[in-house]
Amino acid sequence: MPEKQLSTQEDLSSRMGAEFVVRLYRLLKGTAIYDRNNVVMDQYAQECLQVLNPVVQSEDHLFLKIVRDNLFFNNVKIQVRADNYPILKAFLMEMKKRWIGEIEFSEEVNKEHLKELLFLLSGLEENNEGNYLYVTKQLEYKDIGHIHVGKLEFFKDEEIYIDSEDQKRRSKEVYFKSINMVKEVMEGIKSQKVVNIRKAKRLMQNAVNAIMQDDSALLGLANIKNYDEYTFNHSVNVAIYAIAIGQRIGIPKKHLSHLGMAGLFHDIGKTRVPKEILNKAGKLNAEEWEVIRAHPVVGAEMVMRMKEWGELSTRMITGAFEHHLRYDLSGYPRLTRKKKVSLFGRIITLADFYDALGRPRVYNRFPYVSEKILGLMMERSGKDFDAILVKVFVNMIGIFPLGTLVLLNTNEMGIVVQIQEEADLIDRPKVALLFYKEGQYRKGKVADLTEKDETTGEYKWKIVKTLDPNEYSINVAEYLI
Amino acid sequence: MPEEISPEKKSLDLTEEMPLIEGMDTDEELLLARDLTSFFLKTFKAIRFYPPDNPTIKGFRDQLLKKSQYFLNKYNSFTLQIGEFTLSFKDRILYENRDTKSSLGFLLYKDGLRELRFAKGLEEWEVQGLMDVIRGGEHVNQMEDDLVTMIWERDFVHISYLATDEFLDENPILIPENVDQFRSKLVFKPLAYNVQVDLLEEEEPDLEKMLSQTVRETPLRDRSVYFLTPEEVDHLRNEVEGEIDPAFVFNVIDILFEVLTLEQEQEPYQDAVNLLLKMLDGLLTLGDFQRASELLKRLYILVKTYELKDWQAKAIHQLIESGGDEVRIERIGKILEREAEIRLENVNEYLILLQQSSVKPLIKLLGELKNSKARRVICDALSEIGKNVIELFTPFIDDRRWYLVRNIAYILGRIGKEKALPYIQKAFNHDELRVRREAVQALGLIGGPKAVSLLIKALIDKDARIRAMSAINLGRIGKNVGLFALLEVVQSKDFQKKEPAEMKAFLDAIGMVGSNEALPVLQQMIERKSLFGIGKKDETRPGVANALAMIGTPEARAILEKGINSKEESIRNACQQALRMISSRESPV
Ligand SMILES: [Fe+2]
Ligand SMILES: [Fe+2]
Repeated sequence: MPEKQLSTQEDLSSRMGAEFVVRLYRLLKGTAIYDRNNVVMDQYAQECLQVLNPVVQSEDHLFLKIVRDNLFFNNVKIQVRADNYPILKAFLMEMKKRWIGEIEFSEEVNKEHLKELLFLLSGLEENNEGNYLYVTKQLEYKDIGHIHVGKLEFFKDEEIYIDSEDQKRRSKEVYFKSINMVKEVMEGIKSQKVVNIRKAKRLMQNAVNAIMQDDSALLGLANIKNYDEYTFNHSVNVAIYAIAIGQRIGIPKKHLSHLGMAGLFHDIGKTRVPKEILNKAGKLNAEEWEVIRAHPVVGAEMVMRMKEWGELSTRMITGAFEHHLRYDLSGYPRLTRKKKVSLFGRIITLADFYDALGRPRVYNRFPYVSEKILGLMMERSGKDFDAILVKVFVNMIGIFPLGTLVLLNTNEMGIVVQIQEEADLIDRPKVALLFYKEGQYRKGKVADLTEKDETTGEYKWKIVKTLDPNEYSINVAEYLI
Repeated sequence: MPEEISPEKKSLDLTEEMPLIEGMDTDEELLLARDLTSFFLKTFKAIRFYPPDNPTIKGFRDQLLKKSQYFLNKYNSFTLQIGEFTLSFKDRILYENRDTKSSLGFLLYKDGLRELRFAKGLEEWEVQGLMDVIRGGEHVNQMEDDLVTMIWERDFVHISYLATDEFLDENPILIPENVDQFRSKLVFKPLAYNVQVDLLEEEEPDLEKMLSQTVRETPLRDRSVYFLTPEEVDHLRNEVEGEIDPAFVFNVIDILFEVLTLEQEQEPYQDAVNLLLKMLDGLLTLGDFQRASELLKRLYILVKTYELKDWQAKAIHQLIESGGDEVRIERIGKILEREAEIRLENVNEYLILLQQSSVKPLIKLLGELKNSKARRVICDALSEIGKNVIELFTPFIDDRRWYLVRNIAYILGRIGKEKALPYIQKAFNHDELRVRREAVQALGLIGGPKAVSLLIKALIDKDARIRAMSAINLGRIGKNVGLFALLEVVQSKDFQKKEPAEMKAFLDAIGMVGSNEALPVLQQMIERKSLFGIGKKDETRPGVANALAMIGTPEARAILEKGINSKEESIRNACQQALRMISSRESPV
């Protein structure tokens, strides 16, 4: 249930459920690598049963169900935590791909039956709505009556996209609509219009929906660093990074959309900075800096003015006010009394910094490549940034973030287009290879760096180093839209 | 079901025009869907008619849940299609109402809802939640919220929806389909300096230097750098829980105080002040007097520590005054009456931070509040904040509510100003004994010759407790003038007939004065023979001896020491006891 703290019992169930899924997922992955009688499989299955059978004993059954983006374990929602997030997500994807939405064990299970189920599941073809019937039949045929598998249930247009192209299209829509909306709102504020934030809320809900299903599309879009005007595009990127971090640490949906709103409007105070200062080509003098540095306070005040006080406005005021404070409060505004920067504030600070640093600026012709930015964030964690959140962020972005231009050991050049969910494979993303034709680089096939050569057993590709896209006049965003 | 709905309000018409559809009588699913929809509409009407806590509403919820579950157990899911003025099931219109004010279809449709879907497993909180959403949906701020947002935020498990947000886009926007469209909106010129404010440094070269110096070549290849420990994961979890707690909204207080020290413009300053008042209201409504007091204290500190402009100081002063204005005092009263859990010391802490302007509303509240402990807290606070305005209290000495008069006497006593004496005298002449007693206490607290003379008069009052209380108060403040009056009473013949408690009060009072002037009388009392034989006299002697011990001078002690050798046992005992008391007082263990 939302909006309610878990009881101890529910918390225990949730943790147990997460543990079960972690083990089940390991077994599922094992089916692709080992054959049925391999000792490793025996061991994985055994580890699964260590959770499974005691639960069946004490609660009469074990029932795993997918409802939209949540997993329910004997009717208790499994809480997302920073450590179990990737596995829960990956498991959810595997099941959704196969249209399997329920697995139920109504009696204790033995190793062989469990393995049987997992091999059946892993062998299913993707996108076949009838898969559950096939599994059911097979289980019946093998006389395994106490395991039931059910269809993934959702309504067709419920914003659940199994198809990744659909997801991409939807994400694109959210992204560009959001840029437009931020522009509208900020320009409306300048011309003293009453602000309609209803649309912004709806868009952030869509962003949350999209990110909760698969954050890669929107995180990819957030690589667009120089589209339209800086503030609008930057605002949307910050919102996306913030929501993506937030969901990894288990912030509930409603609050994620508020976090998104806070990200979207963190720089709202800049609308009060005179244009002459904002667009000044030369260096800014001390007074002008003062004006710009006031934007967190001005922003907080603007939100006070435009919104009734409530949960959402609290997030927005806090986000605007805190985003330049820094973790150790050495930023601005200087406080008269020490306070802890809120969790949402710390998240927005990270997102803000990451997005801003990845842009070309006056004195620096080239934006920093992500790897360097992440390194910088690591260096400053505990001072400017919350050290734990930096770790979460790096886990999310990957050490080769989406959009990183890389050189492979095959001497091919490519752009990272997808991060692997499993932490072990964090340095083996999917890379779109580039080829040069008619004076420019073009997108070629996508190489999955986890692929191995069948004869040698060696990985086919390896990242040798990251390259600065500016040196090759490559706008990475083009390859990600 | 109509028969289960309380008929208390007959004007609620639950009938709804439900069209009949051809072939429906043979389609059970359709019939059930129609029935369910009809009940949904009735519930909707009830929601509009009854307040949320009305038991009738609960009845509707339970019935709606039951009916839904019945349907869902049979057919797994139920999808209500929403047209501009209609509700349909499987494309057959089950309801139509074209009145934009009363149509449920329109209410749902206008915010973009196109379908509402219920799935098997529907639970009570979800039905309740949906009802709350629909109730809220009618008074929603159109610039901020709509039904879709409200449903989305509830995060139902078994209720989902289909919604469109196209109507929100006044002018369609271009979503780049291909690279060329995308490129048309790219900005290639380097960004202005203002972007740098988003970075941590403003001086670019520094950052560059830092990068080259401190960041290792491939800093992230080492997994341990970004590996989260279980403790860190738990820590994050706790932080998330703390942050999504509804009480988090009060964290804005810290920010507002920063704004109050930074802002130099009148308008935004006033905004922050206004918002702070809302926070204060929120805290008061929750009965969180501790944090409310903290807020007021911070305001006082702000005024003292910072050189505020006149208008700033005025705004803050007004804010403090608002914290105790009539509306808020009334609200506080309601909370005090309702909530037994509230810690009264925190209430006191809050109230004593208020200004004189709160005196009047607080007195008003005092006249209305039933909770006696809470009344006491208010009295104490009033004695504090009303110190310099006793003229605000004195008129209430003539109030017809005796308990209020009593409280006023109490407060005036605590304030302790002599000019209140005429009013205390009035209270002393009140018909209600409890008021008169309070007046005696007040006299003792105020003191001064006039109070003493009033107390002396009260020594012969017809009420024994008043006599005793007057005696004690005289003992405390009366000095020699009081002492003579007290001695006169104890020497009178009638003294021996008094109840022991009253006798003790008089003798203690004499002891409290602590003057050798009392010794002859006391010595005589302890030594003289009983007029009535043994009995009462025995009870007087320990009291007299005790008074001597209280006086404690060498002369008083001498009388006691002499008494130890008395032939009479009761004298010996009394004196011994009293001497023991002295020595234990002098050398406390
Ligand atoms: Fe900023
Ligand atoms: Fe920013």
